[in-house]
Amino acid sequence: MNEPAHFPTALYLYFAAGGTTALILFALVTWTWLRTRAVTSGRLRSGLTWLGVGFAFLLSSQWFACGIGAGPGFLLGDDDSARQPFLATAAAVAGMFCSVIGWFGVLVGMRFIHTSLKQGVTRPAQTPTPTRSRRSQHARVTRNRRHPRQSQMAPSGVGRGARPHAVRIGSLVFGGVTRDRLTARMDAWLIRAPA
Amino acid sequence: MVARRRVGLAVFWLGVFLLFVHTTLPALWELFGPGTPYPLSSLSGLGAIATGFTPPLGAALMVVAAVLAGPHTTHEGA
Repeated sequence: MNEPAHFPTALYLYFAAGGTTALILFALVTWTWLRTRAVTSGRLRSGLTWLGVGFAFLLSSQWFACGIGAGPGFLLGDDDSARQPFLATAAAVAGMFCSVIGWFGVLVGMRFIHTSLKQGVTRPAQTPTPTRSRRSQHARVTRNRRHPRQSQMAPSGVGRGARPHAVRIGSLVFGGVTRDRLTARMDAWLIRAPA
Repeated sequence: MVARRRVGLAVFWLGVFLLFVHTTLPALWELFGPGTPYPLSSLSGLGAIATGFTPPLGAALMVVAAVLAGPHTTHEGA
C-alpha cells in the first residue's frame, strides 16, 4: 500500500465532517433499533432484525464506496502516483455488492413489519389495554372531568381542551401517536401476539 | 437475562469503537492531535487490511449485540 495521497483541505474537511456525522447518526439509529427490537416479538421482531442487517450492509456499502476516492483507491487525491485504479474498482465492486444486499434486507424487513402490523390491526382485540396504576387512573379521571354544562354542549371525546400543550404539539407532529399511546398500543400488540 | 444484556451492550460499544477507530479518530488526530502519526494506523501487513474492514465489522457487531441482548419485558429501554 502506498503512502496516503494529499487531499485538498476543503475536500478533506467536508468528507471528514460528513463521514463523522453519518457514523454518529448510524450509531444512534442502531441504538434506537436495538431498544425497539428488544420490546417486540414474533414477526415484527423478525422484520426489525432484517432491517438492522440491511442498515449494516448499507453502511458497509458507503464505507467501501469511500475507498474509491480515499484509501485504497485515492482517486480524489492530488498525488497521481498514489492512485490505484485496481483497488478503486475493487472498492466499487464491494460497495455495490453490499448495497444490493442491504436494500434486500431492508425490503424483507419492511415486508415482515407490514405483515405483522396488518395482522395486528385486523385482529380483533381479545384483551383490554393494560391497567394503569391507581394514581395515574385518578389523574386521568381528574384531567377528563368536565363541567356539567360542557358535557351537555359537547359529545364525549370532543373538545378535550385540557390536554397539556406538549401533548397537543406531539399529537400534531406525530399524527396522534404520542409516547403514551404508542406504549399502550405496543403493550396491546404484545399481549395479543401469539407466543 | 441481565448478564446476557450486559454482554450485548458490551459487544454494542465494541462495535461503536470499531466504527470510529479508523474513521473519525484519525481525522480528529490529524486536525487537533500532536504531529506524530496516528498510532493505530498501519501502511503494511494485516493492519493495513484491517483498517479497511473495521467499520463494517463494527456495524456487524452492533447488529449481533441486539441479538445477544435479547428481549426484555419492561418498556423503560435497554
